Formats: sequence, structure tokens, C-alpha cells
Amino acid sequence: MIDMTRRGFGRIALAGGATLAAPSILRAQAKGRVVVIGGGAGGGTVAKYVKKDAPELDVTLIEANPSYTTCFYSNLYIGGMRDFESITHGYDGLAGHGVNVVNAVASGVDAAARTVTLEDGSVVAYDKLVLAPGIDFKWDLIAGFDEAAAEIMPHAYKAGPQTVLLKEKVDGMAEGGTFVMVPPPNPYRCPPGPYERVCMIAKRFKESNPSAKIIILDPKEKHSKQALFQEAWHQYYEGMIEWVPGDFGGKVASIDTAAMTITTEDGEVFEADAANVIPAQKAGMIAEIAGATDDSGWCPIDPHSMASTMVEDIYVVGDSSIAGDMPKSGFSANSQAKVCAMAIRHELTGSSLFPARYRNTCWSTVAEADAVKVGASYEPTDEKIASIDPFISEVGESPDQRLQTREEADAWYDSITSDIFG
Amino acid sequence: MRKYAGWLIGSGLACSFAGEAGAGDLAYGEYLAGECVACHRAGAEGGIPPINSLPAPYFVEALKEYKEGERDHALMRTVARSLGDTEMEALAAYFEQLEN
Repeated sequence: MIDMTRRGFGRIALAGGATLAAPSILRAQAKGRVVVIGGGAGGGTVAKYVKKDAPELDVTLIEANPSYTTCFYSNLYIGGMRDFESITHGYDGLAGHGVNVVNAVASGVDAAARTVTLEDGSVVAYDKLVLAPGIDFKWDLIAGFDEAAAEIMPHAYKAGPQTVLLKEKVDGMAEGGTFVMVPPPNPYRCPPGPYERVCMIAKRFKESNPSAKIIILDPKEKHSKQALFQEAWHQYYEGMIEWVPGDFGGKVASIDTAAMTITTEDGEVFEADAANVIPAQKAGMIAEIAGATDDSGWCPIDPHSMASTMVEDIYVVGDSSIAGDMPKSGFSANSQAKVCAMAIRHELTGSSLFPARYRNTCWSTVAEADAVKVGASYEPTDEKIASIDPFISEVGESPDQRLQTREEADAWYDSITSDIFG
Repeated sequence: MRKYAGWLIGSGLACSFAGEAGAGDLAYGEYLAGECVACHRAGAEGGIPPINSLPAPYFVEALKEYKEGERDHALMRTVARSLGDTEMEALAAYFEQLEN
């Protein structure tokens, strides 16, 4: 079943229509169990929106942690603009909507039996399963950089203890030292994230360690909001930041955390007083276990519903999904989750099915009173979720405009986290 | 018939939609509002204005002004350009009946 495409399901349904009629009645009586794995921007939103609009359905959210720290806005914590508590959210709001929140690790999915197994061995049955596990890392692509190495050179790309660790490394770096940032190759969570982070680290250095330097060893030749970030680096952090793109020697081959050295494919050795290494990424492990990933390591979906094209009765939202032109972002996950919730409600209750619509906006804070943004509307085609009508902040905007965008970003954060967790 | 009527598959809400023709369909508006509430929040102060309880005619007019470039906000102009009259009316009807 795992390798079967949705087109394949359709053929089976047509071929066996008469014989399936009786079992389908039995199934209908039992239908109504929605299980969501992962309580971030995608999973939290799906759970809330299914339960809110179809209270008769039994909705269970399985989340490993008792609270969720958003990766979006975690750079502002590193930059000293937010405290950690303000970017951490509990699940009481979702429980208040009637979602059964289970604080556990999902370790297995049996797509044929439609069950999820938890680490303690207990089994949760579902009629529809939503996978929203976010990202996992490909640890083997940079020699010498594994999970243990990330305790020395934090990735801080799953918000939580790693984020706190990175801030400690930034704030405690030797005076006049060198900080090395290694962004990940595409595709990855939050495309502007590493470069916003550079701004926030530079902001901290400018405040308390002004002779410090930041070197970005980037596997890529270009990156999100490039002109806007470079404008900010020049305007606010002149002389502090050096970006080395992939075709100019930025590709990292190996890392030695004991020696605190980072060696590029060209053989150049960089000595770091502190570093942030963000590995290449793939869908969260449970997606692979469930059979929902393809050879890319990510999850193909139906652009009209976020249903997996790999496994029947499974949906994938957020960073794990192959969402066409949509970037992997909290805003995208929240948007995809609403389409997914509607599709699931329709499948289980016969409620209205409106055409899928998607939206994303990514704000990046580049200085205390300066933020930029990029975004678009998206619509499903038969091939992918396609970008239509994109927009981006312009280089050279007025300080007033940038301050407005900065304030807008804070308002967005309060609204979307309320929408997800409230 | 409104252009999205063909998209309605569930029978229950399709009936209620038919009964509200011309007034802005609340179920459709609630679905469309999912895009808005990622940014707009009841009671919010500063940054992004709340839009709950706005009079429907004003709501539609504001969206049209964004769409036609008479209001200057890149994000909202993108939002408005993705909406037809039916969508604007549905959103306006939905938000008008919410308390701020």
C-alpha cells in the first residue's frame, strides 16, 4: 500500500465498488478519528481547525514536548529583542477547544491498519492522519558534523535548548573573535532565517563586542532577500560581515569541533571562536517511517488538499511537505493546515469543500527598528502549489516604512501564534 | 449563480448558501478568513489593525481600494487582487458579525 499512488487508489475503488459497499457502511460508523503528529504551526492549526469546525470529530494531537518554541522569531531572542518565554507556547488553548493533546513521541505508523504507535507501545487508531513533524537533519553531509558536534556548534534550527545554547555562544564569544555561520543547502526551513540570524548576531556584537567578525560560509550562490540583507549589513553592520557564496569557496567539506576549525571544499581552513552550523534538511523522521517521503526525503502532496500522494488517508502539512513554490515557513504551514483541515472535515462529515487557497509572508528583522518582508498568494495546479502575484520589500525604503514593517511583524507574530495555539 | 457554487460539494452548507445569496455567504467567508486571521487579531493594538465588526460596505470598499492601488500596502494589495467581488462580500459579511 505504501508505494501506491492516489491514482492507484481510484482505480481500486472503481474496480471494487460493489464489493466494497458493505464494508464502507461499517467504516462510516467508526469514522471520525483525526490524529495529528506534531504540534507546531502546521499540526497545531490542523488540530484546532478540524475540532473547532467539526466538534463531533475526535481529534488527537501527538506532540513530543509539553510546549512549543517557535523557530520563527527565535532569531529575535538571539538578538536580544524577545525573551524565550514570549516565543514559547503551551497547548492549553488547543485542549480548551476539545483537542486531545497527548504528550508523547510517535514512533510508528501502520498505514494498512491505520494506527500510530507511541514510544511507550500504546496504539492510537485513526481515520485520517496528519503528519506535521517539521524537519530533521541530514547529519552525514559535512564530515565531522553530527548531533554531538551540534552541542559545540549549535544548529539552533529546531527552536528550544539549541536556541538558548546558540545565544550563550554568541553572548560569550571572545572579544574581537570570529563567528562562522554555515547556512544549509536548499531546500530548508525558513529561507531568510540564516540571514536574519546574521543580522541579529551582528546586532548583539555591535552592542557588546564591536570588533567581532561574522563569516558566512554558504553552500549556495544566492539566497532569499539577498539585496535587502546586504543593504542592511552595509547600513547597520559595516565591516562586520563577510558572505562567501558557494561558487567563491563557501562550500564546507569538514568540521573539527575540538579544534574549532571549518574546512571548505577548496581546502581553506577557518578558525571559529563560535559557530552556527545548520545542516541540510529532510522531512521529520515519522514521515519517512510512515512511507510518506519520496527519494528527495520530503513528502509529495496533492496541491488541492495536502493529502499525501504516497499513502492513503495521510495528509502532510508544513515543512515536511513538498509544497511547490511555497517556502517552508510557519505562515505557509498555518495556511496549508487550513486547507488540510477543510479537506479532512469534508471527507469525514461531508461539509463544504471550497477551492484551496494559500498565502505566505515572511518578515525578517534586520535591526532594532527595521524589518523587510516577502510574500505571495498561491493556488493549486495539477502539478504543484504555484506562486501568483509575489511581492517583496524594496531596497532603499524609508525608515518610517521599515519601522512600520517591524511593528507589523510583531503584530503578525501575536496573531498567528494566537491562531495556532489560542 | 455565484461562481464558486460549483465548488460546494457538501449538501448541508450548499443549501444554506443558496438561502443567503446576495448577503455574503458566511461559511465561505469563514473559510476565506483563515487567510486574514494569520495577521489580523481581535483587539490588536498597533502594527496590524483588527478587522472584526467592520461594516461590510466599508470592508468591501477598502479591499477594492487596495486592489485598484488606491491604498498603498504591498501585502494587502496582493491579498485584494486574489479576491473577486463574491469573496470580498463573503469576507465582509463574516467579519461584520464578529465582535472585536
